[in-house]
Amino acid sequence: MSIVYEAGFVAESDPLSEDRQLIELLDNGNVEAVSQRLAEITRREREQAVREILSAAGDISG
Amino acid sequence: MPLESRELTIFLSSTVEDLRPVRNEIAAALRLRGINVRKSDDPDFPVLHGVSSHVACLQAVKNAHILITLVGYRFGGEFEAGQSITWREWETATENGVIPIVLVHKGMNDLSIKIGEKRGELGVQFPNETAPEIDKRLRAQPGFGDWKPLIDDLPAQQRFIDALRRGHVDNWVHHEWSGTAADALRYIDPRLSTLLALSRDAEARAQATAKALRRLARWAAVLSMEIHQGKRDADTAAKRLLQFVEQLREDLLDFSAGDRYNFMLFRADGDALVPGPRIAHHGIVQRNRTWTIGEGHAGLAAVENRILVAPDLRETKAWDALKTADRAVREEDAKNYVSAVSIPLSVDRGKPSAVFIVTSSRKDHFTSTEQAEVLTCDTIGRILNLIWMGGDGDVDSL
Repeated sequence: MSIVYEAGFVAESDPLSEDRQLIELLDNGNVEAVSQRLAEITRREREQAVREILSAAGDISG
Repeated sequence: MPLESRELTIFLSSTVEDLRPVRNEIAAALRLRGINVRKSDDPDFPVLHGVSSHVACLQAVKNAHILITLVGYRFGGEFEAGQSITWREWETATENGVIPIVLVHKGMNDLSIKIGEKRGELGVQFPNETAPEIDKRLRAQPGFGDWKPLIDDLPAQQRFIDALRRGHVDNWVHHEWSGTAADALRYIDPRLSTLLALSRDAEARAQATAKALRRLARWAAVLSMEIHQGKRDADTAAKRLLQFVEQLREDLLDFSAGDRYNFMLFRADGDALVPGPRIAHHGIVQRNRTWTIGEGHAGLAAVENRILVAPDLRETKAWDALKTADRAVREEDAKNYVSAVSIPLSVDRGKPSAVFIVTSSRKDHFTSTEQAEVLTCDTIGRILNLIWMGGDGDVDSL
């Protein structure tokens, strides 16, 4: 399971590449790897959201 | 969007003659906190040409984020018969999603209880009289009369306080206000902090749901392409999509770790709803029952051709269909399938050809067709409809 996960997901030329790979993981019964990958994406997005809020708050204090 | 344009705006609502000093003190304290405070007696209060001051106040209430209502011993000017402008401002706030924080003077609150009791007695004595007519009788009673300008129309004020108390579970009414600005701020400040936290949570939740739905739409696009390319059949595509719904169930549908979930498609076949792709919590034994159309929650949604929501399935007629099962199964069902949403799916808006059902083991998980989670179920159902209804329906392959 980790081999597929470690193989990497990002291919900039195809915006749906990551989605295809997640579907392929499910086709292979690799549900756990999908969970890990989605958790990682969510964590990144939340960090980005906090950065945006702090940046906006900086704008008004400055 | 720059945060400056989202300056927190509070409308301070009350009678003016009796409460002017305390209004000014509260407004000054809130302005020091960087809050935009609107009150009708300010010289810069916006009144457009041709608009009455009452209408201008109601417009200002609609444009505010929060309404603070101070209730003292004066009913104040009437907006319409039996209803004061302060009362109307509070109603306008609740009708327009403006959050009300209400402070009722403790003395007036105590008095309103006594007036309410007397009103009950007079109501029995004069059953055909209207509330304002009873008000007149109450004003003639010792202790309930006017002492203008500070005390005015206590019975009408009692009706207002009664309206504030009733039927608004999300309303914050504080009955112990001493009448000072310092005491008012003691109630207002914690409420503002709570609102900030709630607003942040609600926004984060809405964003998470939107992101999860976008992700689901992308997967649906890939799966749909694969169906058209002949690489995948519709049933496995729908099942994959349900697996993604399972993965994103917290963001999409507010499932928590302890909830047992069940996402299932049924295909209409004559008078029967035949089980299709399904994903459920590992603790649920999947019996994949076939329902007659009109029977069970999914069957009722199909026959009525509308979204059905059950806060507690066990208390609906849909539950009758499950009563025929043996006792152990019934007990299991009663734990697993508590709240439900059934979405009829159809091609070209005709008779439903399928039903998408979502169930939860949490009572009141799904409560109304307007609830965000139910609307999301509907959206997921529509996405599934696009993918699944073009397939061959070979459920045995699952």
